[in-house]
Amino acid sequence: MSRSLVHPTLRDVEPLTLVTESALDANQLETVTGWGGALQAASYVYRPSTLGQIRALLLLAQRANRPIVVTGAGRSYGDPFLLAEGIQVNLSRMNRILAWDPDSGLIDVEPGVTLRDLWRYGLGDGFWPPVSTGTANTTVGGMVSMNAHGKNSFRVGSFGEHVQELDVLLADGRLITVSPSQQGEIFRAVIGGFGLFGIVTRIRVAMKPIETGLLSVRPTATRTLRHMLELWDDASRWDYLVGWIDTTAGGSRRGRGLAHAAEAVPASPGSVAHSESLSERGQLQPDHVLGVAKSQAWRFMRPFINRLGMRGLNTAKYWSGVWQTRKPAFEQPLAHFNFLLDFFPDWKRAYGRGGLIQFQPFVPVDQAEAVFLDILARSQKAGLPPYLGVLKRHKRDPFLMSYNLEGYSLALDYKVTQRNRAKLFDLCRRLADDVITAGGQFYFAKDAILTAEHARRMLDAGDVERFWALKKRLDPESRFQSELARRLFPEYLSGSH
Amino acid sequence: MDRQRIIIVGASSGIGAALAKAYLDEGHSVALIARSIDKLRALASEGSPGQAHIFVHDVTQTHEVPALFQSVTEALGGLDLVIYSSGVLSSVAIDEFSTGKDIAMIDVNVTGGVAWLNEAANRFQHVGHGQLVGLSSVAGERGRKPSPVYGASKAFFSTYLESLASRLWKQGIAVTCLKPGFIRTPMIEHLGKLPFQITVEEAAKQMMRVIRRRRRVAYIPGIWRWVSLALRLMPHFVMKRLKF
Repeated sequence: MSRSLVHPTLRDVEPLTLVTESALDANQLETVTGWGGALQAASYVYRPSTLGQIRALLLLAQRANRPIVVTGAGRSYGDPFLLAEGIQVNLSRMNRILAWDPDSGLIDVEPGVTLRDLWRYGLGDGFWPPVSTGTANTTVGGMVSMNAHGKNSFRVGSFGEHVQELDVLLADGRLITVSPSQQGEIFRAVIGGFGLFGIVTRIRVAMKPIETGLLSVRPTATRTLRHMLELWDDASRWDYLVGWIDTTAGGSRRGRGLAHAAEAVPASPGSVAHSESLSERGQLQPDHVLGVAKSQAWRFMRPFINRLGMRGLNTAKYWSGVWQTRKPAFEQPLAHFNFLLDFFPDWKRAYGRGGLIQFQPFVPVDQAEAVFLDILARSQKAGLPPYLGVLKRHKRDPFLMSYNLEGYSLALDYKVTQRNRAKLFDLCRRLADDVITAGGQFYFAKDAILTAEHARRMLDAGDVERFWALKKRLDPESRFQSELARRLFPEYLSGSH
Repeated sequence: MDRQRIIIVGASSGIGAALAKAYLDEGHSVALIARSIDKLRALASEGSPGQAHIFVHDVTQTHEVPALFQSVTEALGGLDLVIYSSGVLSSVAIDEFSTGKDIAMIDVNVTGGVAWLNEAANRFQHVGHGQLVGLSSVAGERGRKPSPVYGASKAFFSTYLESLASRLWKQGIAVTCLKPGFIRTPMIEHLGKLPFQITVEEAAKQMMRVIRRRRRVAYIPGIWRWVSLALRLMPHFVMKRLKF
C-alpha cells in the first residue's frame, strides 16, 4: 500500500493514501481467469523471456510497491496465479531447453517449457516425462510450483520427486541453486510451494527411459467403488492405473466405473510400429472424431452438459466399459493415454459462461470408500451432481507443503452457473469439512472453495509455521503473493501491502 | 446482490455524497474522492469498517490521476463502477463575463471529468467489463443566457460520454449519462424556488436504478426528458428572448 498521510484527527479512519511515485502501465491490465473459468482478477500482466527482464519486473514491483504473482500456462483451476491489481509475471515465453543428456535423460529447462515440449524433445532418444498431468499444456515451472501428480504417481511419486535441481530468483534479486542436498530446506519448500518463495528460472528433470512410445492398456469395468479401489492392491505390474467413476449413478450403482491399467510395451526388434512410436508422428492424435473436427466438438458436447445429458453420457460410458472389458488389451500411444484432457481442445467451452470448479479430495486409504460415496450421494441429493470423476492412488512425498498422502484422490468437475454458484460453493465447503475430518487433503492447483479455517484444520501446524518462517526469510516484504495465498493464509499476508 | 467496487469522484457533497451514502447502505465497497477530509471522514463512518476508502484529491490536479487511480483500484481490489460527480456552478450575473470563474468551472466539470473517465475507460477496455457514469445536466441541452459556461461544460460532458459509449459498447461496458434537473443541493441553494425540484436522496435513488439498468442517458426526475425535448426543439429566435 502507499504511504499514509499523517493527520492527527484521522487516526480512527481508514488511512488516506498519497499518490505513489510511479504508476504501472495501465495498458498491461488484463482480466486473468482461473482455468475453470469460475474465478478471475485483473492484473498488470508482463511476459518476460529472460532473467534480465524478470529482474526488471522485480524492480518495477518494488518502485510501484505492488506484489507479484507468477504464472505458466494458467492451467490451475482456481486462483494460484490470480492477484487482483497486482503484477502477473507470465513465464510462458521463457521456454528454452537449456541442456539435454540423451544418455541419462537429464534435461535442463526454463520454466515456460511445457509438458508437450518435453515429450516431443525426449521421445526420439527414448525418454518420456516421469510424471504427466492430464494435459500436455502445463509448464514445468507450474508442475514444480504445484507439485503435480499423474496416473503413475502411485508407483513413482509426484513430479517434484523427479526434479534434481532448481534455480530460484528471490525477491531481493539473488539467484540461488537448490537441490535435495544443496539448501534442501528451500528445495523442499519451493516444490509445491505455489510460487510463494521466488521465481523458478531453471529446472533439471530426470526423464524416464522407454523402449517404445506405446502402452498396452487393459480396461476393467468395476461395479462398485470398493472393487475399483481394490485394483491398486495388486497393481505392481502396471505402470499407470486410473479410474473413471460414474458420478451420476445413484443408489446401489453409485461408485461404479471403468479403470484403465497400462504397462509399457517392450520393443520388438524390427517392429516398424515400435520404432515409429518413438516419433511425434507415432504419437499424433487424429484431428477428427466421428467426422467432426475436434476443435468444434465442444459445440456438440454443449447440449449434454447438464444433469440429464451427463447422466446419459455417464451411463453410456459405463456400459461401453463393460463391453470393452470383455476384449483383450489394446495398444495406445503414451500421448493418447496420458493427455486425455487434450483429446477435445476447448472442451471447457461446453460448460458455458459460468465455467466449472474442480473438487479433488485426497483421502487416506481406509476412509476413501466411505468419504467418496458420501460426497457423491450428497452432491446428487443437492441436485448438484459432478459431471466427471477421476480416481487415482497416491503416496506420501517429502515436500514441505504437501497434499499427497497414502490414499486415493477423486477429482470431480462441477458445472458453475450464476444461479447455482452460491449453493455449490457452500456444498463443496461442507463436503471439504468432512474430508478434512477424515484426514483428507486438497490440491491447490484445483481448489477454488477452501477457506482459511479449512487450511488451518487440514495442514500440519508445524509445517505451516516452517513454511511461513522460511517465507519471511526469503521474501520478507511478501513480494510474491496470490489470491490463493490470501484466501488460505490471510493472517500471514495481512499487514504487508 | 453482488458486492461491487465503486469509485465516486466528488463524494463529499451534493449528489456525490447522496450516491455514496446509498451505495454504502447497499453494502458495496466504495472509494470516496474529494477535497474535504472532514466530510469524507464523516461519510466513511456511515459505512462498516473497511467498506469505504477515502482519498483526498482536487480534480483540477489532473496529473495526479493515473497513479491515484491505480492506488484506488488496489485498495478496492478491482473495479466495477466509476461515477464522476464533481461539478461547480459559479453564480454569474446575466451580463457578467468572468473568465476566471468560467475557467474554474471548465477545470472541474470538463478537464477533471476527462482525466478520470479516460483513465477508467482505458482500464475497462483492457479488462473487458465495467461501467462509467457521468453527472451531466439538463443545462447542457441548449446554450442559454444564464451561466453560459456551466451549460457549455455540461454539453461537452454529455457529448464526451456519448463518444465513450460508442467506443466501449462492444466489450459490454456501459456508459451512463445522468442529466439531473433541479436537485436540492448546496449547488442551487442560492437560486431560490425552482420547478420539478426533488430531494437529493430521491435523486440518488432514481440514479441508482438507472445505473443498475445500464441506461445510456437518463433524466432525473423523468419529467425533464419532455422539458428537454421542448427546449431542444425551440427555435433560437424564441430562445434569445427568454430569461432562462
